[in-house]
Amino acid sequence: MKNFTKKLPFFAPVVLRLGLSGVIIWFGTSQILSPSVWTSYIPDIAMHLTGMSAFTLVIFNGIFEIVAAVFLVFGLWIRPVAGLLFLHMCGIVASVGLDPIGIRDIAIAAGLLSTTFYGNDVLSWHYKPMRTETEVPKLEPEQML
Amino acid sequence: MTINKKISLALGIAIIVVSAGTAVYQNVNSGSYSTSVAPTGVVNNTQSPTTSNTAVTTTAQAKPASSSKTQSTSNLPSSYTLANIAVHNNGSSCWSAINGGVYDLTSWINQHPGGSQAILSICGKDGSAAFNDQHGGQRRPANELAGFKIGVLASS
Repeated sequence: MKNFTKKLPFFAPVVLRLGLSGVIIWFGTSQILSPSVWTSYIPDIAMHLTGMSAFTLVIFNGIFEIVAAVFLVFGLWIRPVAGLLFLHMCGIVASVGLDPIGIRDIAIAAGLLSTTFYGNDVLSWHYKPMRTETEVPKLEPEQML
Repeated sequence: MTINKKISLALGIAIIVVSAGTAVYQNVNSGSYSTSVAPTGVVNNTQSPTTSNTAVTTTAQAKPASSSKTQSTSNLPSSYTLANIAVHNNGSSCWSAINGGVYDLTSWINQHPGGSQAILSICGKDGSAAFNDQHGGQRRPANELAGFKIGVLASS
């Protein structure tokens, strides 16, 4: 039991990363399958700047979220991907405002920021375990000569 | 491939399958509205003229797909009485009159951010009071609602 509780902290960032990835994949898939449901969430300034319709922007946004979340779920380039998604969520919160949806999105943004800070966890693709004294044999002075 | 990478790969695939599968399942259960666009040209009133043309073009060929019997838009009457609306009072066909317009909310039931019960409670009746109490003065819900409009409420 003691060994189990000692290992738990290593998996905390893994759970956070996988949970966030799952949520973002869900939203991205939903946007691609039902873009008309999400068109009202596209701010007018986005349509003015890009010249694209809300329908098209929802599709592109869904594709972006799915691709980024797939990178995140497999632990590839966690820091830049999570950082990009954090900025993306900040834009969504700014657009949606402080209603129940926006409040929940703040929590998602906070999770993404935490993942950005933490970086590679034990199950990420680019994880490199730290070398410990048990892995690096300590040479006696006589062996060094 | 190390054991960590194998576990990461397996978990990643599982997460993708579960998340995407859930979204697909919910989309299928909410009706075929997701594959069509709003039956009328009234989508987002706040769009700029350049984008509204695209939206109108996109919706021009849409068909109301919330019920199992799909009909072309031209065959549907444009005004409905409360008696017409009262027939569509359940989850399989949910119409509501809101602020003088008639809306087919069937596909929105499972998509509503505040839960399905809020929509089911106004099926088959005038939902103006409930809508205005919850979303009065808010631009986004009004824009969203406009996409479901199928006609106007006839004065009895």
